[in-house]
Amino acid sequence: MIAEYANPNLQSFAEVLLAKVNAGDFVAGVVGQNVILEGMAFSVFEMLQAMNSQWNPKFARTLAGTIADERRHVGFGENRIGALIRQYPEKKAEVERMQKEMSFHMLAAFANQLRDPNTAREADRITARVEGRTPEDQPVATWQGAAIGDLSTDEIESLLSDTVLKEFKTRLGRVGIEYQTPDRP
Amino acid sequence: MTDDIHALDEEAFFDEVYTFQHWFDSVEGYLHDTRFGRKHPTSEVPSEGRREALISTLCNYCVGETAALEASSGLVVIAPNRALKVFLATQAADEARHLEVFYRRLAELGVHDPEAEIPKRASASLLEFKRSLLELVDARDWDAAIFAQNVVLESMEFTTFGTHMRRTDDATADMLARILRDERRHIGFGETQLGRRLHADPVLKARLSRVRARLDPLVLASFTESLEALGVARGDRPELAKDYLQTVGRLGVE
Repeated sequence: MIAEYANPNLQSFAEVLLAKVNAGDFVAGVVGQNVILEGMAFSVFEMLQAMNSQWNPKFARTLAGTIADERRHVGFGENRIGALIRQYPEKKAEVERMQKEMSFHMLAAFANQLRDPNTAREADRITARVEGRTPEDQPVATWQGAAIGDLSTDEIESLLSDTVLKEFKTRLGRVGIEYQTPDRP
Repeated sequence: MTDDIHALDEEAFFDEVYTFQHWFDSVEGYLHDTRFGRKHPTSEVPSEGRREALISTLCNYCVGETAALEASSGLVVIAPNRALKVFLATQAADEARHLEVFYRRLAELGVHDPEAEIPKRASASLLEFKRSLLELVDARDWDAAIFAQNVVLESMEFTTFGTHMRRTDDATADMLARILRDERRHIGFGETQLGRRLHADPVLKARLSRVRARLDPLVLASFTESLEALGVARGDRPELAKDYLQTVGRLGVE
């Protein structure tokens, strides 16, 4: 079932990371997992939590626990990697290439998912459901300052991509890695 | 979902018991309200001779736990399905906890640089065992690696910790008693994974017999080395070897 529904771009994203792990490259593996993968998961889950807070609060609460874990994992990456990059400066270029490649696959996964007509229809159904509620029990779900329920899927893709890439840039900068702008799918 | 997991069919049963939720429910019973793996509040330090012996023993336990931590993490990668991956992830968490509590106890005994101390005191046979186990994992040999880790290594630890627990200070005994609860779960996993298949597959049985023939001498030698390091006279030595061989023998791999 998972293989049937899994986004192939996400599979490619994972393969880039697993290649580093299989090669025993600890520095690239930690950056790939704890900064890139966990950073992406953190933002995606935060956005999903905001979306679900209106119409599926139970799932939103489940995500809150996951987000708390992800925050810890990203923190580990940031604390440890800076020291490792200073210790192995020759690793920098390779890690930067990996970040660019993983970022491309991530953007392709977002595009693949959010440009799918089924996703747009699902978004419309959720909007209709939310609009059916009274103003008293309909809190305005916002994420990154935007009323997420009012956005089109194109706008969601753009907001999500920009948010995650901005986070990558900030976090990588903290550990001494120069963010590489990925190609856009 | 039924409350009685034993009422589930086999597939649903393993789907339930190989979960983090089941792990949480299990460890809560014996780790709740503990700090670094024990409830015993004092940081009791034995007299000098016994302290030295305990440090050597704990350093060797750290070698075994590091082997299990690295092997179980590696086995996550080659596990054939999601449920087995999740169980092995819980085992990796257990092994990391064991290592942490042993390091903590070593610090209480005055060892401030365990990374330097462990190689000085580690049994050569145990180090060789660790190398052999990790080679099986690196070779992606699932059956042999599970046998070496969850049957042989866990049985060795189960026997050793159980014997040690009855002869040591209260703080160490408390810590070991709680680790033993984890080890029992890990051995059960190994026996479940291999038991039925071994019964039906003589080729697998013969192959694991060869793995056992390579590992048993290392385990038995590590018992001897550890007891000699502890200065235990031959006549006073507990029957570690017999207990270990009985535990491993349950699977029928001669």
